[in-house]
Amino acid sequence: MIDIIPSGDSIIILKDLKYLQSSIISKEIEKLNLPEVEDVITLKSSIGVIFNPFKIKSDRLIKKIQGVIKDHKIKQKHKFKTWKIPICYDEEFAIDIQEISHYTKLDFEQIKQKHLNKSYDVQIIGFLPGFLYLGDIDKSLNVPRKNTPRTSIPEGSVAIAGNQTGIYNINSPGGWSIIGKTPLKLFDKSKIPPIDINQGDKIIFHEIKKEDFKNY
Amino acid sequence: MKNTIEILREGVYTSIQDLRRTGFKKYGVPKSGPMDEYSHILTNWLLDKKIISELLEITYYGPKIKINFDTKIALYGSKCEVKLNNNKIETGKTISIKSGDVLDIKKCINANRVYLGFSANMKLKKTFNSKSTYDKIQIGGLNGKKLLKNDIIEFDQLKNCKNKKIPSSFMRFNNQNMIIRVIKGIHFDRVNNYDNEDEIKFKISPNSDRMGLRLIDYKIKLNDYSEIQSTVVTKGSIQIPKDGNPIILMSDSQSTGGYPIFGNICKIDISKLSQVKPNQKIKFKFISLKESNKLIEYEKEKFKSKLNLDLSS
Repeated sequence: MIDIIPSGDSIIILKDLKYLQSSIISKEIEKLNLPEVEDVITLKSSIGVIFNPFKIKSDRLIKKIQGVIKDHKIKQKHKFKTWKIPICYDEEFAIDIQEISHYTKLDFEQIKQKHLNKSYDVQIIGFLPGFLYLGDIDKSLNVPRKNTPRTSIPEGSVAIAGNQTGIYNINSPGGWSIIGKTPLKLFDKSKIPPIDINQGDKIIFHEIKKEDFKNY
Repeated sequence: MKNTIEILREGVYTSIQDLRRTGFKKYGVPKSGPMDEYSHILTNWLLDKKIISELLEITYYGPKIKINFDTKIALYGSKCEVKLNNNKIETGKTISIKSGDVLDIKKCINANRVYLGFSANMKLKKTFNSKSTYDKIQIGGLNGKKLLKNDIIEFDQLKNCKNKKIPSSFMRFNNQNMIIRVIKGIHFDRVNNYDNEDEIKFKISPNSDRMGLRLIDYKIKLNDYSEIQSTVVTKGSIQIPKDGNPIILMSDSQSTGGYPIFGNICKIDISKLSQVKPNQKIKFKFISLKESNKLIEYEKEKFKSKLNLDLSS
């Protein structure tokens, strides 16, 4: 049985899930369409369910979910998509490339190749509207977060921090180091859902030249 | 003639908020909505509207508004000086308005925010199922922004409602050293310096906003500073960043956090906490989840029996 604990009076957390199991179970919870549940948030190895405590209390919600999430359902295979995302590593966009190079002792070409050479899992969507946490990146690319976050990072910027790379899909402040930029608009506030990429999907970057940027 | 209101003076920060934006946190879009849900719900009750309906959330100093149609309004939340055509009016009750009336809402006196509702519905486009303003990505409200001078909001037809007054048993008083009840958090075992909980006070930093309240004056130390796995947070979650000054997440907060969770404010106390003014002090009191759930049930029964209002609707 899945270990589910309360966190305050309005959240329950499904703990210690295996990778991708969390994406599958959260889809099962969403399918239940429980009127008491406001949001289902999927993390790498856990799920948080935010609910309205005027409608249900955590102990009953825990039982309800434990009753539904049976083992056979978790073992079902879900299809996760692979997305090919164009990225331009031109220095005009990769504003932190010098700093990354200095920290990692790799030259620009090596940094680019190491970033391109892996397919990444979409580990979390959130923190900022449409922000994609992707991982894990090549160990040699691990750089710490900036001590002083930038006050403005342009939409589409691709950044790295720790063992993750991420895509800023709205203009916002941020503390990650910018390695490139995608011309794609992945977050569209006028659509539901605003982003087509799901937690659990895979991302592969492919390089484009600065001249090709306007063609997207 | 269209039913409209016109903003003659914008005030400090007035935005349109409702309680409809659920289900979008998985895309990183916060719920937004009123900081003080309790006052929001009571204002809507005065107008016979659903508890989720949109209102103007007025922060610190209010707008001056010309109302160009016959309607009813209600104001509730912080005490504040309000004038209708230069005559003082009371908050906490339904008020009839004649076309051409000018409503002037001045300073919030004992708290941060007051809510203004209309018996008619605002004709606004919904984004992510809601009219709530979230200016970071410019959605909701009017053009995704706080209300500005010369803005015009259009309304649909007036629905009639009878005049009501909020009973005195629902009035709240904002006082110094307010006690806020908290359920210990999933990382509370990391906290190292919280033995005298009766002695510890926090000040609300002026650097607080709709995303979060920052607490200062007492730094929380941890016995373990190793990274935690990101966890799910919501309005009322208390995070401990590295500097030890707690942050309480509020309406516009993100839904995941990498800081240890000290605790979660009890649902019933989040609204009154949101109204504590900057530089005032608060004290935490720990209660169990069971006790918090009892408070929620008690509140639900009180609203049902005294106001005939179902908080689970």
